[in-house]
Amino acid sequence: MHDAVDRATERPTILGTIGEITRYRELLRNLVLKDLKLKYRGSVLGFMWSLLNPLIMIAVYTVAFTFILGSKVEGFVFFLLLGILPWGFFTNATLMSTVSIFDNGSLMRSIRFPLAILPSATVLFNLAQYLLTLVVFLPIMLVARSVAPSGSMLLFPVFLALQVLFTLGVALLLSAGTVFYRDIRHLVEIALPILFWLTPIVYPLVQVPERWRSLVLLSPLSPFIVAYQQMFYARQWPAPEVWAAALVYGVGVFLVGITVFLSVEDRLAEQL
Amino acid sequence: MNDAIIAQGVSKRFLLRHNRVGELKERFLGAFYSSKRERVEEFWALRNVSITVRRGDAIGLIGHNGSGKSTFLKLVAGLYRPTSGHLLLERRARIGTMIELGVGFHGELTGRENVFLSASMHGLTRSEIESIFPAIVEYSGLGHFIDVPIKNYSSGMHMRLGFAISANLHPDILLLDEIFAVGDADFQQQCMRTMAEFRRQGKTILFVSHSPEAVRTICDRVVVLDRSEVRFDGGVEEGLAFYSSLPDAALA
Repeated sequence: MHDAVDRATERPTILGTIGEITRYRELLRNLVLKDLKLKYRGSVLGFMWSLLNPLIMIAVYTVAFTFILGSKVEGFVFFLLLGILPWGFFTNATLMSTVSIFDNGSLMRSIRFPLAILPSATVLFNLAQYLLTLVVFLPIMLVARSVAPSGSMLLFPVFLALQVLFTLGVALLLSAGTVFYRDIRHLVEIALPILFWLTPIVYPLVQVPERWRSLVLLSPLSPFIVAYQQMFYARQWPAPEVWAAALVYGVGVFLVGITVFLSVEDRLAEQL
Repeated sequence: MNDAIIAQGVSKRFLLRHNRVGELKERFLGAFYSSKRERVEEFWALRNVSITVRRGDAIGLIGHNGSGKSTFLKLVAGLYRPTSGHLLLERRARIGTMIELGVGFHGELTGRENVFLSASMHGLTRSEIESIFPAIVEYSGLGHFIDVPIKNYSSGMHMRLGFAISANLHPDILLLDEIFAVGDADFQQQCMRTMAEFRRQGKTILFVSHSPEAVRTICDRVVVLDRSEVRFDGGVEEGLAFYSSLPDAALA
């Protein structure tokens, strides 16, 4: 037998896994489509629900912050939208990813495929939903507030890609971790609202007292959301420290996530 | 040079966790109360198993429940990792697993959508699936039901569709885990015809079964596993005779 593989010693590598996932892209696509179909099939309002949800959140926060707390942010709705939509993407993806391996035990014990596909599909499904809502809301806001186009807006895909990498890393960690510790889902449910208030979504970063500002910027979602606010709301190029934090979180967390995931991958099927 | 699978001294240990610690709270309590502590028991599902499978072999793996047959299939499929020993396969070989039929099917999706989902789990590209799709529909005999959500299928239709997908994946090595035990006589005959066809095409087959007739029809070699070890490896009739002479696992 030449060019044999030994089941006892084969170990997945990061590059090998990325190659495998590319080979299995049809599965990735079908898993995302399945979730989209299951979500909207048989519901009357269908995709409208995905628009209604952020609309209601925006209405509630706008009433609370501008009318009750007297926030001085000009164009609060537009400002809020730029933070709350990507925040929703992150929250939904992380919560869903906790069970993306856990719920597929029997599948993993009968068909071999790269398991990292499962949390990846969860992230991409939520990304698709986020982009669909963004495509509806962003142009409306830009026109309503007559925002002139700016070169900084061209950076959106770059920061989006970094946020997707970051979210993938978190999803890989959580999906594998939940197999060993069921508590993780509950911890995530508690951590997310705390993280929400530590991220400049309903308040601008400049309102944070100077000595706390860099701390708030270190909250994991901040660099991405501040970047979106800077490029669309302030029409400025993202500041260097925003670039640095986004790059470190995006690339770093992805590498940590995939490394940890691959080191336990062969135990996931047995553990469930 | 014509070997398809070489197992050399393969062992597989499972850790059975009593009082399984799935929550941090229990792990914390375990530090103080021994009754809450996790007890881990070792279970060797396979011990020092050596089997060489030549290309085109059709091997019946038989043994009592819990003898390690399915574990061996899962090691070959790459679902579990051997604890020790070597298990060699050709890197290029396409491995088809029929360990559970219709796993990963979604009730809300139509038969057609499930075919695409399930076939892509086996690593097929869209154009590959499109090219085998007509054959799958014909094989399953579902006709226009293929566009109905499968929650409306009978369990027989469900199984037929699952088997139709597996039967059309064209693997080099086929791993079967007792899947035709369920299903009516018609379905079982269809499965047998397909297996005979695979044999004619020279595919390698590993077949886990309790049914002597099925083993006689499909296999040309029998391996008997008993309490995690290989006890017999040879001709079909001798193997079946050896198996029936084994004391019942429950009494042993």
